[in-house]
Amino acid sequence: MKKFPRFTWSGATINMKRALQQKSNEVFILKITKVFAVLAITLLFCDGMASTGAQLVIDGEGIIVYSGPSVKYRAIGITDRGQKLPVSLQKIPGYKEVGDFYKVLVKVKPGNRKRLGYISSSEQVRIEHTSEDENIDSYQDFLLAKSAVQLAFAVLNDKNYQVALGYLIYPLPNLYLKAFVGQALSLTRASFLAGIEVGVDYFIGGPWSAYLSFAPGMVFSNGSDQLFLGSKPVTQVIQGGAGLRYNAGEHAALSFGLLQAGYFNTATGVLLSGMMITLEVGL
Amino acid sequence: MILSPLIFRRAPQFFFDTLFLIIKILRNQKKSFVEQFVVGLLFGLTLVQLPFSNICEAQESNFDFIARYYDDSETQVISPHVNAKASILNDDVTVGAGYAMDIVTSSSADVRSWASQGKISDTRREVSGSLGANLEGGALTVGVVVSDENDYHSQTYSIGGSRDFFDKNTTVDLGLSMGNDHVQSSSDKGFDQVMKTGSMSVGITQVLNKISLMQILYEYTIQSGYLASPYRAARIGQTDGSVIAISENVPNLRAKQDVTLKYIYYALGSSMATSTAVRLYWDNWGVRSITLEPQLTRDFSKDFSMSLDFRYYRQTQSSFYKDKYDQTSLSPFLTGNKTLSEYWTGLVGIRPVLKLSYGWEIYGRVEYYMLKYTNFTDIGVPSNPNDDKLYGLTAQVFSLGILRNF
Repeated sequence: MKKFPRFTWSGATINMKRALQQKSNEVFILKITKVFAVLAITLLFCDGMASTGAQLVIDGEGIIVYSGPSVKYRAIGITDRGQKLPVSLQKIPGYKEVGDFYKVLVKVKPGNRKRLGYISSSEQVRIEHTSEDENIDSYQDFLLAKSAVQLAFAVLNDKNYQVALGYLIYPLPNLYLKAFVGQALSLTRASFLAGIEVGVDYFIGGPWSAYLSFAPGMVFSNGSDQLFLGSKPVTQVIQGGAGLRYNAGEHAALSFGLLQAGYFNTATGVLLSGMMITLEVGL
Repeated sequence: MILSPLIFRRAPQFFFDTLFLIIKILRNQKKSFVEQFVVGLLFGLTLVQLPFSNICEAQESNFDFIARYYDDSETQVISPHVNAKASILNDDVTVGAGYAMDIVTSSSADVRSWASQGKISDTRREVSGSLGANLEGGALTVGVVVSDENDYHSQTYSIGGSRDFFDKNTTVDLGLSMGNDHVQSSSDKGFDQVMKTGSMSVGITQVLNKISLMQILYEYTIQSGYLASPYRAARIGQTDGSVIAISENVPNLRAKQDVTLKYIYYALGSSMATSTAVRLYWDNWGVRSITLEPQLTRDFSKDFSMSLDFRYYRQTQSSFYKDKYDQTSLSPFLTGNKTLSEYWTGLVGIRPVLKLSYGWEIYGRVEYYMLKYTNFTDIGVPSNPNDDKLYGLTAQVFSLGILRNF
């Protein structure tokens, strides 16, 4: 005969507690199972929730992307409203200025290659999580100078040379203006040269860019026939160039290319062509 | 969908036939590597585009064939031109090639007065190639043009680029070209002079609003070397009224400058676009000119449009030009070049364009051209002063072309 335990109030209390605990455990396990199920379904069907990276959403108009963490660096592009750029969550303190910058990746032609840029955190932008994780720190900084001093040397045909010192500034991404002074040289004579130049720049890959330039100016000589046979003390010059520029970063750049120059006055002139190299030091 | 007439369904075959003809012509003559390369490229592009156009993934690929006929009753010119362009590598790169001919027969005033046979004929052949890159915010293009005729050979290399700013509302264009020409003479096989040309340009295009834009372009061209013609002669008036000729002598450098201002307006309601261009030109030889060029284009339907354009050109003479020089006071520079005299021209043209199915377009152009010299005389027989008269001409130009966009 099966013996029932003797009823005691304390025993009943313990048994009830055990029963309640068991019930509570079952409810807890059920809840956990439900949560896992929901998470699993969410993970399966909603990629966006599996956030590992971030992107910067551009809410403002015409926000500038700089090549370094300061507005003193050269701009490399202007964003469109609604554009989304991969961003590093770690803000970069501005270089010699108050404020922080987001480090972003912008796509550039040809081939939609990615390039590192900086957007001020004070602009109308916001961060959004994304499933795409970009190792932004693996991309190279270019830190292009917005303004620079440029030393130029050209070797032209018929033993003519040019040496000039210029100040150039990029008022727009990839468009520069330059003022220069120097000398138009032959083996025996030198004339003072001054002019202005407008040029455009194209990023073609890595630190390399291509440039085109157009420069009108004047040449001042001591007398006639100094620059070419028939030249006057004041002669006009118009020159154009095309070539490649290597942006070494941290404010230095080196370029080499073709230069074509026409020195002329109302009566006659000379057409010269040759090679030009320049060295830029950013300010 | 419009059904293409039979001739346009057969246009690819027609195009191939034309290309084979060009190749055949070139094979019969000694051609430089550049010319062979460009013609090969032209052929290759066409070969790729026609049967397999889908693989190009291109939005800007096309080929264009146009035949042009000019007749002013003294000179006739037949000019077939063919061009092909392909966008490749996801539209990052464009490759283009072209071939053109000018078949000239002339008995113009100069020829009648001074050439031994009173009539000349010549054929100019031109091949061109270009390679462009669509880069961030703009494009960069390099090109080469090689032109050959019996007594003139020319090579021109160019590089040009454009960059967009302010949401593509502003575009800056820069260009640079270098040319090297050899001037020869059919009457003197040893004659070979060099003329070098350099050109630089800068332009700005600004979108003013949704229906109008403005463009300003400055171009500087400098020519150096032999700038005369071995055939042309300066005319020296004799005391008896007759005229003799001596070889012309002109400065060895010419610096040309011009500014063009263009305004384009699109009238949304009437599907009409107007374009007005004004060009001012001056050079260090004293020539000044103005060109006015209004144009009106209307879309009559989505497949048919027509353009009507006018051009008025007027220039002053160069500082050393004279119709007839005085034997007793000859200047160091003498020329018989009538394009350095004072004259004006007028042109009116009409250009219908019909779009067909499968990207084909057919277009034509009819022009009426008028030219009047103010101080250039057709001297007729040089020894007879009584047949002198101011020179002028009228000409008709007919063009017919087909274009295939891919």
